[in-house]
Amino acid sequence: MAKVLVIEDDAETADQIVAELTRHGLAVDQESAGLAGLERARTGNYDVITLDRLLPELDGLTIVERLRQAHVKTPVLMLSALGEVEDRVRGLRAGGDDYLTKPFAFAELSARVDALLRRSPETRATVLRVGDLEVDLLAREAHRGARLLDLQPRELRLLEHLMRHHGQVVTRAMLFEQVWHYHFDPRTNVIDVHIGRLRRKVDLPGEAPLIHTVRGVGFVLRAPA
Amino acid sequence: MALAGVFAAGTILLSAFIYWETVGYLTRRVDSELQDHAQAIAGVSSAARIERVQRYLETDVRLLKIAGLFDASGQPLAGNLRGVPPGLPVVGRAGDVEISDIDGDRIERQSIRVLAVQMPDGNLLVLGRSVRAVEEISEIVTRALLLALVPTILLGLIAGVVLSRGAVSRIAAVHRTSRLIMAGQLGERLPTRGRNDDFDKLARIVNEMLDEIERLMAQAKGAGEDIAHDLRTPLTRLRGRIERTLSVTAPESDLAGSLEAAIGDIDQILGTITAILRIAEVEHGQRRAGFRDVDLADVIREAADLYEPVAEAKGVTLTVGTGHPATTRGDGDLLFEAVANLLDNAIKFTPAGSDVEVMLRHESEGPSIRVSDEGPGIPAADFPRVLRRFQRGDRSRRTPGTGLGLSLVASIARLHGFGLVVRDHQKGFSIELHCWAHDRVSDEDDDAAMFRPRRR
Repeated sequence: MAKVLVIEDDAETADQIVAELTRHGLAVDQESAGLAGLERARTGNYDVITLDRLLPELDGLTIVERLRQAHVKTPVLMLSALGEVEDRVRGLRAGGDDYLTKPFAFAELSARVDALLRRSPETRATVLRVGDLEVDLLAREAHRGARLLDLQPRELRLLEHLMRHHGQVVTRAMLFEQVWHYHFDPRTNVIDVHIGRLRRKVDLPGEAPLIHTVRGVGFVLRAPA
Repeated sequence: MALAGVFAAGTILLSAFIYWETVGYLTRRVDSELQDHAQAIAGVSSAARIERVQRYLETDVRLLKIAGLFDASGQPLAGNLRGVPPGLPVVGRAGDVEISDIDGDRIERQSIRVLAVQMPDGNLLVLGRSVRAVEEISEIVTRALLLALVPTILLGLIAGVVLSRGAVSRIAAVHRTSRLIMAGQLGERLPTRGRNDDFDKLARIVNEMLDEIERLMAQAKGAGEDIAHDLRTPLTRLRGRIERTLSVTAPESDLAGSLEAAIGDIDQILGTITAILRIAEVEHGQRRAGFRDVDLADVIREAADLYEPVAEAKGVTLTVGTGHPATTRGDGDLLFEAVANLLDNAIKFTPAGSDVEVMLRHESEGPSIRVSDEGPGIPAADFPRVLRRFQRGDRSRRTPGTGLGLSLVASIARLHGFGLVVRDHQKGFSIELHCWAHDRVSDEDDDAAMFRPRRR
């Protein structure tokens, strides 16, 4: 069972995070102060740490910096209620692996923790395969079975991202950040429209669907069972 | 210029005063001299009087005097006058007379101060003295005046230029600073020169006022942000609780439906709060430090790429015209967000089957981004309000969104010092982001200029 450390000083928020992650089958420990949190993070051999940006004693940025100095490479998800833009850059620069601005949906949190848990070294493979879907990264081509998919460059990148994280729920915000590289809240249903368009090309009627919508959370690309 | 005029007028007035005073004094002196002589002559016998008149003339070395003694019929008895001069003043009082009719042409025709006095024996005594000295003085004064006037006017002009240059440059400095303050840089203060002159006193008063305004603004702004933060915390908890309840609720039940609806409502409130905080964050202006060269053509292409499927899904044709690259100094992410917001807005409000166009235009002042749609537009009178917080024209009543999208665009424009112009045209509505330095983006006073409705 994967071990997660939650360093969060607001008791209710902490309880909710712990409950949410536990529900997803993770073993969760919690600390509410900076120094104790740092100590536990250093020694506890966790798989993922969620770290509040503002903490008593020691703030989140310092904790992640100290961890990296101590060569603790545990992925860190920074949580912050501060202005997102400046702070995100600083959080990631200090050694955080992902950044989530409060308020967030717990589904968003668990999707990101999940992504950090499953993070594997970027594959060197030039061909990605999920079921009968195949993307050739060199030729910039995608096939479903024998059928060549007519994809625009952006659609190909979106598909590539979903395939690299196949079986894993990705949220709209994660897609917007990781495929488009922008960090604001895209209004309306922009991402859904892009996914919808991709899905119409990937999953033809009669074929076993690969791209699924996870209600209230995001999307997942999964090989048919 | 006016100052030089005042200087000149002063000089002329002063000269005139000196002239009139001098002439008056000299005339009075001549008059009393004539009176003295007339009295002396009247005081002797009739026979001796003729001799006194001659003696009066003989002592006149400079040939300035006239004298005549006439009997009752006007016949000259003595002196250098051939007859009683015409236009003689009232007997007993001195006056100015033109005399040309002088015995032996001793005196040229000239203006003479003349006194006529009735003698006890009935004869008329006329004594006169040329007032050439007075005329000379008037000439001297006039010459002096002319000589003085040229340097006076020059001096006045120079002093005027120097003084007004000082004043103009200080007013210009005050103007520059005021515009910065109006553009939102409330920390700016009017310059003082430490001379404690009127200008400095005024500037200090205004600066004290600005200190107070800044303090109050910070307080109000802080209060607003605090409220937003304070609202966010309980809402986040509430959302969490509902989300977790939902996760253990049978998905088909009514409860699940109402919980989902509740989460939707909360998300909308949270979205508004986040947007308010985000506008506040942009308006803090810290991001200027991260400005670098941004190609607006790239920004437009990327934003259009993001929104093209949205337009397609709605049956709206999105036309993109970027032409050649246009580099500007700014925050690429924010400019992207601004264009994305404009596109989002345009696609939302234009009817299905119509066109939305995003164009990069190269204008003489610099590049400009124009997003136009064929939506219902908004009344020109609403333009200024549209970009202010919470304002959504009538056209947006039933469209989702926080209504803060355009406010955010305005904030981003303000951060960059860009201009934002809203236009209403026959087919719809367009917004232009003018990517060159503007003093202000949107301020109550300048609404007319910035949001001038222009029909094409």
